[in-house]
Amino acid sequence: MLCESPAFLEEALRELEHLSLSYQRIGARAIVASAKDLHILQQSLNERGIYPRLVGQPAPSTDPYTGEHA
Amino acid sequence: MNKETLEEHTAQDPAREQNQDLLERGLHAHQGEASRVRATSLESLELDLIHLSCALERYPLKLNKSGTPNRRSLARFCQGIVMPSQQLTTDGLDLQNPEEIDYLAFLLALLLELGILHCDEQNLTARAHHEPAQRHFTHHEERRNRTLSAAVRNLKHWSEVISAQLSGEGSPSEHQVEAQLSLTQTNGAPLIGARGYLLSVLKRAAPAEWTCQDDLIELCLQLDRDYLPRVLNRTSSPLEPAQYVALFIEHMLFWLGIVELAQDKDDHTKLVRLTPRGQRWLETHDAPALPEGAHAPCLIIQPNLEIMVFLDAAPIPVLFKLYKLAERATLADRVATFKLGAESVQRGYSLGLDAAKAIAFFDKHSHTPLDQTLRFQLEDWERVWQRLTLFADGLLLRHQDPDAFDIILGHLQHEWREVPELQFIRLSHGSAFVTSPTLEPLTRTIERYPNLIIDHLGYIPPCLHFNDLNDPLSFEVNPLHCDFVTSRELEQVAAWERERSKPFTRQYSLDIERIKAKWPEDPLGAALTWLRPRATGPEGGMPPATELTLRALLRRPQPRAQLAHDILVIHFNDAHSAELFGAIPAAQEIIVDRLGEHSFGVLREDEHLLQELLTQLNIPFS
Repeated sequence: MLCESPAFLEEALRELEHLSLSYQRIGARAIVASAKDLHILQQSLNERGIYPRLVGQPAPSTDPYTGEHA
Repeated sequence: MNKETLEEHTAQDPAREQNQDLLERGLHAHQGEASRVRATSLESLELDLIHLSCALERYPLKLNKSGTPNRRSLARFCQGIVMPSQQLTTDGLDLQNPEEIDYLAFLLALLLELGILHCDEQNLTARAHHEPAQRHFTHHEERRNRTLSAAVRNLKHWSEVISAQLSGEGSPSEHQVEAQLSLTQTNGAPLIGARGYLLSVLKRAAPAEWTCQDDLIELCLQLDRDYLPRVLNRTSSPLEPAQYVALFIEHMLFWLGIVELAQDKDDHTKLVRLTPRGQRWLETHDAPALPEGAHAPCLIIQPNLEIMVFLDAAPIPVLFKLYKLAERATLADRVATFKLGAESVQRGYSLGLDAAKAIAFFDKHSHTPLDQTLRFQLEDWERVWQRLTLFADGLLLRHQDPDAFDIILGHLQHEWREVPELQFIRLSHGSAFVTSPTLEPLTRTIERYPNLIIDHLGYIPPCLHFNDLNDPLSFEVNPLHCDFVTSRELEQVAAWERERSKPFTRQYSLDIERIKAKWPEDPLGAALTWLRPRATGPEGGMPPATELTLRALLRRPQPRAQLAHDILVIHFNDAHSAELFGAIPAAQEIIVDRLGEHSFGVLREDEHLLQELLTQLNIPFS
């Protein structure tokens, strides 16, 4: 998750405080979290009226090697 | 009896010729004057479907344990839904009114059948702006008619039989209401064949003019006299076939906007006729053609960011797109008002639009060119929206030396300059993020720059689960929990056991030959270094059995064990006494090995020497 400014990252992190999210801060504007938490992150921000830009394809719901469903 | 058609029924019927005659004679247009016309449209139903799915996308509908929607939660979704042929009320549908609950249940069942809703144990949610909603609502009328027609025929979670009970005289029981609202019970499934049959009759009879409803019902009953009674018997329905057909017309077909209903002005006979869209929906032989040409502008965008929409002129794909960008505020007299706001527009942007697309959309469908202020506003909201970006995939590159990292990044940017989707975003002195849709460039990077640390959380996640006590080298992996380096190197040190694997739990076994080939100089040391941060056993960390097995298979000289059958153990009850005993030269002559702090091993043949020594030392023994 990359923010325009450090202040905006702080603001966004406050909105995510209630989540038990494993993430690591990288620099002053970004955090890195597991791709499997993307949906939770997105949903939580949406519930607070923040609709982030999403780049790339979210992690597949199938085994990436075999294509089988869980 | 799925997908039964009238043709199949008439072909099986010995009175086929008589049926053909019935159809050819057709239904006579009613001669009297129609009054109290009740009309709705498929477009109104589609608007309700879009409105409901958008609401469900934003807020999940809580489900009870039985799979029925929680009433308190359901109340939120009644807002803005219009009962067919009625005006929108302030509160929307009334959950105290069984017929209005029935209509809401019908909409939910349709959305479920269209694949737009997702139901888990606790919640019902919609993917209103993703597939398959996107696939349905953005297409032209002909294609929407087909998908909706298939969904209506196959409705499993809504039943006309229960609908009759809800609209009957007297208050329906709570059980009946729950059964109709249930999203897990398939009360409508036994009626799939009956719906197909009735729609086939309607298609062939094609009553485009006002027709006596009883005549239409009679035709449906006559064409295959046994079929409907048989279906209704199977459902244990108290309904007579004629009642079932009447309800099918008055509820399902009317709500869908396929038919209009009226009464004769004089004798109050019930009348019915197909709407033009209904004729196209049924694909009757003389259905009116689709209106040609592009739709006229249907939006009036006001400076206060309100958008007025003339629903009769607005195609469903336009309304669907408008729902992405704006909130519907009011609906009255076929005019809806939407409100553009920072939140709603940014939500639209997060669903795949941007300022340029939004401006182009409004320019195309607005009565007047878009105001400069609004253009600026849409672009400004895009700027605000871009303040926070989530990258769903990509690579985090880190290096301890910022100067060396600069050089590496320069090389990589030059190497991948022709791949536009690869962007390099510098996050700090020693880290950068690369938006990469493929893993191939990363593979090359790993090989070329061994000092570059590539991971997703800054540490290697323990993802190799050694749980098989009978096979210390066997382990399970969930590929989604692995960092990239582990995923890539796994195949170099272990063999994938496909037959024992399941999706998301792949079974591997450490392969000694592969390990030796990968690390020929120090296979044991390198393998343990690789495994220790990644392995997790039942007690956590690297299981001792796995490490010992690897030592046995890889270490030179190999660890060996001797099974001693002729050793006597002498055990002292305190460590200091044992220490003193071990220091006596006579004892050292007979001790084979020290076994911990308290014990020694002595050859059985030296037992008499040991006893003599203990006697001399005045140490009692047993």
